Amino acid sequence: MVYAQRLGEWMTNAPQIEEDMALGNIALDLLGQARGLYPYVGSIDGTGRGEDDYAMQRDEREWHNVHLVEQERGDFADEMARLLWFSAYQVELHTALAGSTDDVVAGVSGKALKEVRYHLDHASLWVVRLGDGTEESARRMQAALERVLPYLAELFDDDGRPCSPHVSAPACCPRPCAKLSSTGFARVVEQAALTLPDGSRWRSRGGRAGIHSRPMGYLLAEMQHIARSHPGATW
Amino acid sequence: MRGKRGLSHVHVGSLHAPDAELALRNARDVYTRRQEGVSIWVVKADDITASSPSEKDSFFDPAGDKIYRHPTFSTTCPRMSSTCEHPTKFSASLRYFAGPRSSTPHSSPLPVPPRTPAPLPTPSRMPPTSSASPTTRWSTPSVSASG
Repeated sequence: MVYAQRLGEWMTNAPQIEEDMALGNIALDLLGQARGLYPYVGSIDGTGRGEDDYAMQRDEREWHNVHLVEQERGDFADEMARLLWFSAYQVELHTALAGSTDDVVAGVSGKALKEVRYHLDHASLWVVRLGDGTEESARRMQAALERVLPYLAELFDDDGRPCSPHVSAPACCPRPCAKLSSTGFARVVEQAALTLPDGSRWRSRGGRAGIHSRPMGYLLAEMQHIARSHPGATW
Repeated sequence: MRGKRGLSHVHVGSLHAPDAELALRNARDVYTRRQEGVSIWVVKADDITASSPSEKDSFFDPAGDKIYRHPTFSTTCPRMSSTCEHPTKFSASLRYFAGPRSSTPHSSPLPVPPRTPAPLPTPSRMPPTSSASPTTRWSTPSVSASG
């Protein structure tokens, strides 16, 4: 949901009109995945909240996304680096979840898997072309990889809470996914004639526990302002 | 783009892309939003040679007055009838398109006096094949008269 909001900001700002459409489509895919899960979560966590409530009425501390997706937009290389890592993570996640014993989760994941495979493909193609392109694009792409690095470890953090019985065990614990993603990622980076950045001095943490970075507040304010000003409105 | 039930790819539009692979992805993003197709071909615009609109008249109009090129133009004769009254005007020239049987010279006179035959089209300009076999499609009075 959060990443869909961030990607939506690329509309009319993308480098070419086809990329506008592509990023818009990716944002819509992610939004659709969120919409598939929100009503279900509302029904099983006992609060009975609908998807609008989940999107528009939750405060910052109630959101459990990782810091990577809430960061502000940088340049196009930044976005492709972010998309590359996030979709690589998502491919692993949904591959695992598609085998879930729960019907809704398996259904949403099965559909999502097809979508995120395309996102990963899209991001890989662009990273290779930017990395292996002109000096300027290679410089920017390498810088983007370095900028994205501190946020990556958090993708594979466990939030330490017990797995709900609705999700089968393997998908619940993200740590094994890390290794799978990184091999694919290394291949793309190599093809792009870039170097994989190694450990950074700090890493983000806390997103899954509800502790977010500074841009999250602004993102939520922009996203929720209208809905909260007119609660219950329809058009 | 080829639709699910289509046989051939139809042109849906153009776009800009740095290379062929990304063009394919962009076409998928831009042109399949409403499930228009199951297969995409992308071709570089430079590689397309197109007919020019200013030459439209000389390119396409001459085909307009050659109605004998359509499969439905001639009607077939009953095979055993020696006289065949049928109104085709250019049966003489049709003979050239029939199957092997018509390559034998016909001694019997043609019931329809041949007019100035239309210029023989080259094989590549033959009209689209109908499902009927050549001999039935192009059966001419001369074939039935000798057979």
